Amino acid sequence: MSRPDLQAPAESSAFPEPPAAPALATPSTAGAAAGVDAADAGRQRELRIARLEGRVAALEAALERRSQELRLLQRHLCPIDLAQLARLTAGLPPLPRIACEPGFWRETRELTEADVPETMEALWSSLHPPGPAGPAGPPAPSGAPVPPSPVGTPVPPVPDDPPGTRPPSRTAAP
Amino acid sequence: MSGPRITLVILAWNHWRLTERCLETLAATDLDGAEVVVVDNGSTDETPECLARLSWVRVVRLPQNLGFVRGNNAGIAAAAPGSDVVLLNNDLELTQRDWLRRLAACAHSAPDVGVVGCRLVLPDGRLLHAGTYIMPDTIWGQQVGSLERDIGQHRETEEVSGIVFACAYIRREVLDAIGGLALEFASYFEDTDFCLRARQAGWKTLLCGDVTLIHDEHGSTRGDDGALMRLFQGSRDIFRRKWRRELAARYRHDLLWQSILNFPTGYAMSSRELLRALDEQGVRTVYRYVYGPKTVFPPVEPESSGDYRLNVIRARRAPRSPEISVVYGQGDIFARNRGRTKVGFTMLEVDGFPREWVAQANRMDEVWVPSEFNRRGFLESGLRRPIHLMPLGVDVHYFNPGITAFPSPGGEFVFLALFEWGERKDPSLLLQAFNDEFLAREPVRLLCKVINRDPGVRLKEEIRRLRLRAAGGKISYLFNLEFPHYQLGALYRSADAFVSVSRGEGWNMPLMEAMACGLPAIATDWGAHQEFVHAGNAYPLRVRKLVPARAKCPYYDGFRWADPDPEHLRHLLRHVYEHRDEARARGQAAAREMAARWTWDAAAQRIIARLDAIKEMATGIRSAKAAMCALASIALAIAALPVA
Repeated sequence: MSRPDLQAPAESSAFPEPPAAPALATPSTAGAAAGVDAADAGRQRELRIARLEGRVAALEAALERRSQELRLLQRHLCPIDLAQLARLTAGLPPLPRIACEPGFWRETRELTEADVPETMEALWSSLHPPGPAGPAGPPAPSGAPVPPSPVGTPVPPVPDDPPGTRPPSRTAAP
Repeated sequence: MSGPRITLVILAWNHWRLTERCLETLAATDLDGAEVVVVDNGSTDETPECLARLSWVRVVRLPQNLGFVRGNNAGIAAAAPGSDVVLLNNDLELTQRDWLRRLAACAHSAPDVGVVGCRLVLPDGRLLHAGTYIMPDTIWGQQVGSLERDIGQHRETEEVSGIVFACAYIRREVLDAIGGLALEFASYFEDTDFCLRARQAGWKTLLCGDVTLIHDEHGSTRGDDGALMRLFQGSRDIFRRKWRRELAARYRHDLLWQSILNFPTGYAMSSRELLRALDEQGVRTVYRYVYGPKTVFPPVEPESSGDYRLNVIRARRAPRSPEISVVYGQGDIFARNRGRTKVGFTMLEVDGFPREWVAQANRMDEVWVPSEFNRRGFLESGLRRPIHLMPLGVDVHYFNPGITAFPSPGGEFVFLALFEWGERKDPSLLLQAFNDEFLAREPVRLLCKVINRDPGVRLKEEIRRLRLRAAGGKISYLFNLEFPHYQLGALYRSADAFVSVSRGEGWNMPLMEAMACGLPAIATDWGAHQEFVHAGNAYPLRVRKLVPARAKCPYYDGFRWADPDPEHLRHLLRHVYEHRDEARARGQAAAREMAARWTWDAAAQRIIARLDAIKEMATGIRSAKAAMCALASIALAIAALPVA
């Protein structure tokens, strides 16, 4: 899982350790020793039962927490996010984050700012998703490497004095 | 001529690692016998010792840092006699093997070329420089294309006002004619000053778009912005005194432009392009937001357009009684025109114009429309004023076949359509026809970039209602995404063909942009775009008949638009898919035609020609009035003479 808050807590491991096999009685034990052993064995069994009951209670609590989380997620996330969660928990790589099929849309009137290079890469990747051991995505596009997006870089308006505080390109100034 | 033909001058001041990287990358390129001179501008680090070990570099050692101008002039003075000079910053990385050959070819491509620069990109890949300009209002140098993502824009060679001298190829004749860099500048502005001086002496400055170098900007002086600003401001003052009048004198016309700039509309987008082109071509435009109260737009427009030139234009003070004003927008706001000569500039997507628009247009001195389609519609609707064609354009720096593509890695043939969901764009026709014509197993896809801002439309439901077949042609959607306009060329280039099946268009900018990018386009054979679409450069889609224009837009009431033929659309989709060579050739023809005829510069020239005519007419009227006055005075004088 990529989100730490969705990771199973330690006490609710998805694969709890199997219970240990009950101890076998030894035929040669006798007398008081046998009584002491039986008492010890009883105490140990009670301890073990108590431990297991505590573990079950912890698992139930964790399960309840997880159920609440999942109900919350189901209520608030769009289908693509749920699909991503399902893929991730099944050990599959996530689909690229693009809602290119109507089923994955969250109906909205808002426009989302995006860059063409990432959008196209994500689109093609979603149409040809990589397998569990497959490559991360489509081959690199032609042209220069894609830098981080400058979207949202504010261009200040023009006041009496022009915007910007950095002088233009220069080298070897005194 | 003996000695090297070209001398490369690299100015260095400390920061040996930068100089070393510059020289290493330089050595890996084809220098064709050019001599390399490094001017050590009084470095105090290991630069002098390290340079001394390089036998292929000639070192000019200056006793102290003399600054950018004097340092470069020392290099120019040391250059081989008669050689051209290339000034290089030491924070450049030269990653293009044939960069020098290309620059030299560009510099000698015509006798009047004097200075040549190139594209510069930042180490992170963003474009830094594709030429420079300085507006007389602010005297603050701006770099063209600066900080945009590099999608292959500005790759053509063209004349520019200036270049930064991080890389400047200067022909010997220019140096002989005007000397080196002007000494009144310690640093900054000397590059633009040089280009302007060269222009005064008859030499052009070009940007060689097919050379791109990496510029680690401010590599040498990083970390001392305060000192740089002082230097910069000092040089700016000198430059202002020297060139402001000259820069201002290039404006031939004053024009008030009342329109919209900073909202996502077609008028705003074309308004921005027209204002930029007009300003570049000598029209001093002042902009005012024409919408606001009593219109569908907000009362106040956002201040910043994200573009320096437009911000300057917007900040200019508007005259109280402007000579000429153009209102560019819907015809029912023409009445807001404040000019003495009033021009209304508009367009519409149907076969006529609303009564209110015509009434307001008839109060203008003249009306402009982009297409014959609209001219006819206006006249048939009762316009009685002169009407002129002012076509719109396309920015071929950003929309051309050389723009970076991100094609489908699966090798599918991709049809692209861009539209806002609504009656006019008729998306159901396209989706249905595509889905019916193709099979899912065919390697072809329709990619729709869809916008829906209508709260009354539930797009999922609309698409579901079309009952598209899962076994039919595959369709993908880019839903409500807003790309920076300058990046759209990369979207078009990522497709193989473009489809526009709208019922009517006032111009159809996406279609024009796609065609400029070299895409074969299928487009309805009716509407304003017939101005630039024909069977030689696209695939006109047959119209069955004209039908009443039924849409939410009140302007369409009572008018008609096209009913495109679905069967012909299916035929054209299949034809383009199966005749790719022919389609490609048609797309290339479209790109050539757009670049030759339909640029924003061409659009601005049409406007300027009209402004010239208006001015001439006004002068004529003034002269006629003056003549009439003179005649009247004479007549009065004669009348006053005593009768003999």
